[in-house]
Amino acid sequence: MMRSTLDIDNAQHIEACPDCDLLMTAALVKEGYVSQCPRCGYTLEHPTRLSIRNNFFCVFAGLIFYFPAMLLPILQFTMVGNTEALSILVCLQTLFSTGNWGVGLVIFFSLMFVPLVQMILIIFVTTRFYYQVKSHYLAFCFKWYGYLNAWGMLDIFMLSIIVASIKLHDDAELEPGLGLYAFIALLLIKALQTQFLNKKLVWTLIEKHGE
Amino acid sequence: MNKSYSALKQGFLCCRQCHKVIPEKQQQVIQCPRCQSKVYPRIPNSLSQSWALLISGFILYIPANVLPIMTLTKGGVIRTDTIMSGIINLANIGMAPIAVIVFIASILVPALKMVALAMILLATQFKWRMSVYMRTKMYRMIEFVGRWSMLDVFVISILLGIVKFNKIASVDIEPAGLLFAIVIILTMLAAIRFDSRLIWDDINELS
Repeated sequence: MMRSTLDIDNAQHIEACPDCDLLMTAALVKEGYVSQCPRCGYTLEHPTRLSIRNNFFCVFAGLIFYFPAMLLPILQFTMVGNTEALSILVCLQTLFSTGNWGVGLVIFFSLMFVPLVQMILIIFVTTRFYYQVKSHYLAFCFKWYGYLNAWGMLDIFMLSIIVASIKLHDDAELEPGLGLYAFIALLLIKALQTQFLNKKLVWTLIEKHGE
Repeated sequence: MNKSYSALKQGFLCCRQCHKVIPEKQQQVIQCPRCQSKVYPRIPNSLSQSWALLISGFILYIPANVLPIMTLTKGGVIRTDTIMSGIINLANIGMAPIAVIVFIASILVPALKMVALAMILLATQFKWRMSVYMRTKMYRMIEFVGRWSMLDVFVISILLGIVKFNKIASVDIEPAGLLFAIVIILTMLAAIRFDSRLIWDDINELS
């Protein structure tokens, strides 16, 4: 989508690329289309159908899978005869009980804290839109959703489960547990939700709803 | 595209958080009317902050690679691995594809990332004639790829959790585990604190 002529007197229709600071006129982007910065190629907007509603349902489904993913065993393994199961929570407990506080905190923050808090913030923002309630905290919540975005690491943990189980291939018989299926579901839902989220639309709505 | 000037030059500030464009001729620090965060013309001391985080990350990167990351005791045999020796071991037991993934994620990516970020910072600071498109592409790559280096830290945590139940084997996480996590966090912060709009400011001055 090309944007060229500038109408500087009317700041309502002006937009700047957050990545390269190019000033341009704002255009209405149709659902399913992507608008990019003409200079640096940054994706400015990617509107999808029923963005807010789909986000709410995605996060709702995500919250259902979150607790099984954290509490149920992700791997079941048999070593020298006895079968044991490992969940993310048990993994965390082991880290703390063996004195690995630093690594434990990194895991707690990136696997448990950030995904949960992000989902709660999105639920808060989307439900406020749905019921047309005014709130001072909307902007605060969505801002923090953005800050936390870089620090959730569910997808990396998935890959490390694969690497770890291959490393232990010879020493133990490994089987996926119920928690792993919940974890994969949580991962897919998270990806879908990010795909549906139209940040620009959310900010416009926040501006409209705020006092 | 020959009349592309930055918003800043034309008297507008763009909020880093919510991307609202605010008219501000004096280039002062103001509060965003939409998201209440502070809006600066550019992140203040962006380059120095980024340098500080990058250099501390680089200094810690050396012990993170030299010191052992994990000790495995199995049937009386004690085996201490650094990141590199763990990868070589993986390749030796016939797991070459996994060894390649771990090598890319935990050795290649952090090293290249730090070199690339240092190049971007140098080019921006000393106004090198390095393509802005190239710099922007590199910066986006750094942002995307940064988190994946956490792979090894997660793997040793899972191994620790699994082997805990075993009576004849035990796993201990050595100092490099935490050091490595800190290196990744520092380099991620260095990339976040760098204001990508600085790359394009040279262009805005030239035109």
